[in-house]
Amino acid sequence: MPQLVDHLFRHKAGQMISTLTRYFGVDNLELVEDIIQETLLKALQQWPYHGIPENPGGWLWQTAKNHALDVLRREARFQKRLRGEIRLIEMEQATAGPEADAYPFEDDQLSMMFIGCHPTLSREAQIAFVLNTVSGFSAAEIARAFLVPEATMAQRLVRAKVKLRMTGSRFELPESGSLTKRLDAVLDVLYLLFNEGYEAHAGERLLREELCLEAVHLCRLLITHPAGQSPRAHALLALMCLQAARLKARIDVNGDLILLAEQDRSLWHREMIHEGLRHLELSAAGDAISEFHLQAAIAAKHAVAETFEQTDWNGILDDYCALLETAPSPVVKLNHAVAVAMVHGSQAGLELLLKLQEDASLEKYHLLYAAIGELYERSGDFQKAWHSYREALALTENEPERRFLQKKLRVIGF
Amino acid sequence: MSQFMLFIRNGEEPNELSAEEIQQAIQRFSAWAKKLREQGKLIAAEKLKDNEGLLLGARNGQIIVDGPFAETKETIGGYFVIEAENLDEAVEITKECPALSNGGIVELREVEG
Repeated sequence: MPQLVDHLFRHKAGQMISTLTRYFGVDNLELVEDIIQETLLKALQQWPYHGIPENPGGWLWQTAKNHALDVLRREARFQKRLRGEIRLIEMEQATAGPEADAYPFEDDQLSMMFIGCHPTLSREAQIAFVLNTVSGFSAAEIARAFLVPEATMAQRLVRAKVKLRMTGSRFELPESGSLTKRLDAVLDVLYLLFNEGYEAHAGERLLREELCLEAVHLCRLLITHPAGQSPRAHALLALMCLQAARLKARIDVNGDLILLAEQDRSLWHREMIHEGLRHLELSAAGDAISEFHLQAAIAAKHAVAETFEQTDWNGILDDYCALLETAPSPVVKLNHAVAVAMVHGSQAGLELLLKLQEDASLEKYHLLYAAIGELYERSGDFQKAWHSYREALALTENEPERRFLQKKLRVIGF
Repeated sequence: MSQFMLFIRNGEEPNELSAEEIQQAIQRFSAWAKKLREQGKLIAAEKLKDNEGLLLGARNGQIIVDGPFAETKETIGGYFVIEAENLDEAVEITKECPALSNGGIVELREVEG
């Protein structure tokens, strides 16, 4: 009895939507989505009785294709409306016969990713669109992962699709002149998607892990294509692999956070670490060093350390110093100070952190106070540590983090 | 051992299901059927074609054919034939039928042997 590969339907939905859109045009995305939804429902109606077919993915594609061809034949008028984008015969040929399995769906998904990262769309809309059409997540699932009401997410998706229709986006990769810029936009979207999943929000954990892995999956896809191979793309994939490799060790059975120092490193995903290191090497091909390069270099130093104590903190501090110059975000400033503490001692780190309290972008940032508390605790000043943890607790709604801070407060016990 | 028929009446058109949810629903069915098959309790399973049912009756000596009817919530979508020790066991098996968690209704009937 054949089994279904995890997330087969979701992956297949993304592939099939992308490929049918190539033939139907971006204008008819809605129709394409209907065709795919009906195809998946047909499987739900048949497979419970007939069992899972030998080649489930092939079954789905065959069914979707037949359904699409029916729609085309039924609506001769419709064909005229398609601005010649549909070449029915071409589609039948391209996807016919036993080689159908070898159809390069990935190329179409890639084109779809570039379309979704069109500059007229906001970043939020780009992320939602890519997840929805390239990755097969429903509006409700995306809403749940991003802690946004479902209606809001559905609206966002509809608006994005209307906008793309207005721009007359054609189903092809951007011209070489704008390719680099668009590729960078795609990479930024994947990075945000990954971070959204990686941050320990109160949202559903499983779903959020899936977002991380989906970002990795899409980036791998990107990199297999010549249009997607840039040093920055390799650096991003390296970064995401090296971080994702540690996902399982980051949270305990109760959903509580486990700090890097206390993680069971045997739970880290060795293969992903190696994949990350390989891409980090490949990312060195160009002259430019992007933020992704530096972040990946830091993640690599963590990932290869046998123990927390053996971590190359000097190297990490150098990377953070470089990041401070290129991309001084609040998180970078904070992590830089933490690295200083690891290299030059808690007192040196504390001095920097206390100065950051005056930084407008950080004054309400709970992790700053958590870090200050941690360094006070390490230097034995428990009263100040307690107050800092209290401050951090007041600034966050995130459940796992709240539990973490409450535990800290209990342990110090004032 | 007695044979029982499970008529599956589909639930509401599950249009809102995501790809992932559809896969999970199929996997639940698959696991349920696998267990029954391994125990030798699954005799047959067939899906019925959609939208093709007709009702036939005789009135005043004339055969009247009605339909086909649009698919509704009550339409029988398919059936399973299972073997069970007695009605109690058949009920237990039916309770685990995944159609129930998809909003469907299952009619359980014993085959008179």
